[in-house]
Amino acid sequence: MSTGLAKQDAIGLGVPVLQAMAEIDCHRCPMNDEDKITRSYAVSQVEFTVGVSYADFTRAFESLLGRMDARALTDLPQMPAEKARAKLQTFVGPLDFSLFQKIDHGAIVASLYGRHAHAMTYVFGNALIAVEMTKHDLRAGLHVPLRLFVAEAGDGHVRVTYDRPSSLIASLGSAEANAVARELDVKVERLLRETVARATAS
Amino acid sequence: MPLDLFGYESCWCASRMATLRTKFTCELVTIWSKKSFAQVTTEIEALLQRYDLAELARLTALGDAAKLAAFVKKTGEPTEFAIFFQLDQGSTQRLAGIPIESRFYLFGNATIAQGLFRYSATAGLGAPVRFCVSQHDGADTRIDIDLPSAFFSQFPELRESNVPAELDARMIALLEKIAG
Repeated sequence: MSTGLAKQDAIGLGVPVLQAMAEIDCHRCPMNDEDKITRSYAVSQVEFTVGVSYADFTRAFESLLGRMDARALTDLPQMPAEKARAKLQTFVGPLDFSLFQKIDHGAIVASLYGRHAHAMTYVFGNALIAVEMTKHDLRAGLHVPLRLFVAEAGDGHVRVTYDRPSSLIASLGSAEANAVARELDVKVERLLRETVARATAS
Repeated sequence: MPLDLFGYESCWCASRMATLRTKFTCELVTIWSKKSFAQVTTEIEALLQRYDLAELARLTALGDAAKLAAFVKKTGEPTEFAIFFQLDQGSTQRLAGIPIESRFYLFGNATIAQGLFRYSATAGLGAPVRFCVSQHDGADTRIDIDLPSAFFSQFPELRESNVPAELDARMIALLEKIAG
C-alpha cells in the first residue's frame, strides 16, 4: 500500500499536496455572524470508468462489504468498551468496510421518467475507523461514513465516483485525523481494486 | 506502461480503465444552536419524516410514476424533505472516552433530485444531502453541512441547474430555523 501512496505523490495527489490544499478560508456569514460560520476547503474527487458490467461491479462491491446494523449502535453505551468494539468488528467485511445504506437512484429515474438507468449511491465505512477521526474533530462525522456513486456508463462499463477521504478530512486541520484519513484512502483503493478484480473474474 | 487508477504500473486493468481527478472547492456551513443536542435532533426528526426505503424500492420496482410521486410528496410533508438515513455516532465516540453526542443524516427529496440527474447522473454522489448534528458535553450544539451548491460544483454539468441554489436556500434555512 505504501508503494501506491508513493506513486500518487509522484503524480500529484500525495500527502504533501493534500495538506497544502487544506488551507481554509473561514469567515463569518454576514447574515448572522454569531450563529453561522462558513469555511471553504479543497476536495479531490476521483472518478474512473472500468470495463465491467454494472451488475458485476455492484455485486462484487457488495460482496466485499459487511452489513452494518445501525440499530445495534444504540446498545453500545451499555457495553464494556472491548465488547462494544468486538461487536462493531462483526459488522465489517473482509476489507474492513460495512455497508450502511444504498440508494438506488437508477430505479427512481426509471420509475418516474421511464428512462433506463442503473445508478446507485453507497454509504459505507467502518465505525471503528471513523471514531479515530471524530475523536479529534467532531466535524469529521460529516464525512464518514463515506459515499460512493456507481453508474452504468454504456458498452459494458461502469463509472465510479467518490471524494477522496483524506481531502475531505484535511480541511479540519487535525494531523491525527489526517493520518487516519490517509490510511482510509488506501483502504478504499484496495476495496475498489479488489472489486474490479472480482467483477472482472465473474 | 500507463498507471492505473491508483498509480500502479500493473496491467490488470490499465487497458480498460480511465481515471479522472477533479479538485473543487467546497464550503462547510456550521450552524450553532443554544438548544441541546436532544432538542435539535428531536425537532429535526419531528419535522422531517423518514423515507421507508423498502416501500420506495417496492414502488420503483412497480414502475408506477404517479404512485411513486405521491409517496415522495406525502413523505416530504410539510417541508418537501425527508430523511433517507441517520446514524448515531455518539455511542461509538464514547467508546473512545469522548463525551460527544453526534448524529449523521442524509436528507433530500427524491423528485427534486431529478433536477440534478437531468444534468449529471453523477450528482448522485451528493444526493441525498448529508449533515451532522453534534455536541460536546457542556458546549453548544452544532449542525455541519456542506453548502449544496459548493458540493455540486464538482460536477460542471450542473451549472445550468437551479437545483443546487434552491437546496442552499431551503435546506440551510430549514436547519437555521430548527437551530434558532
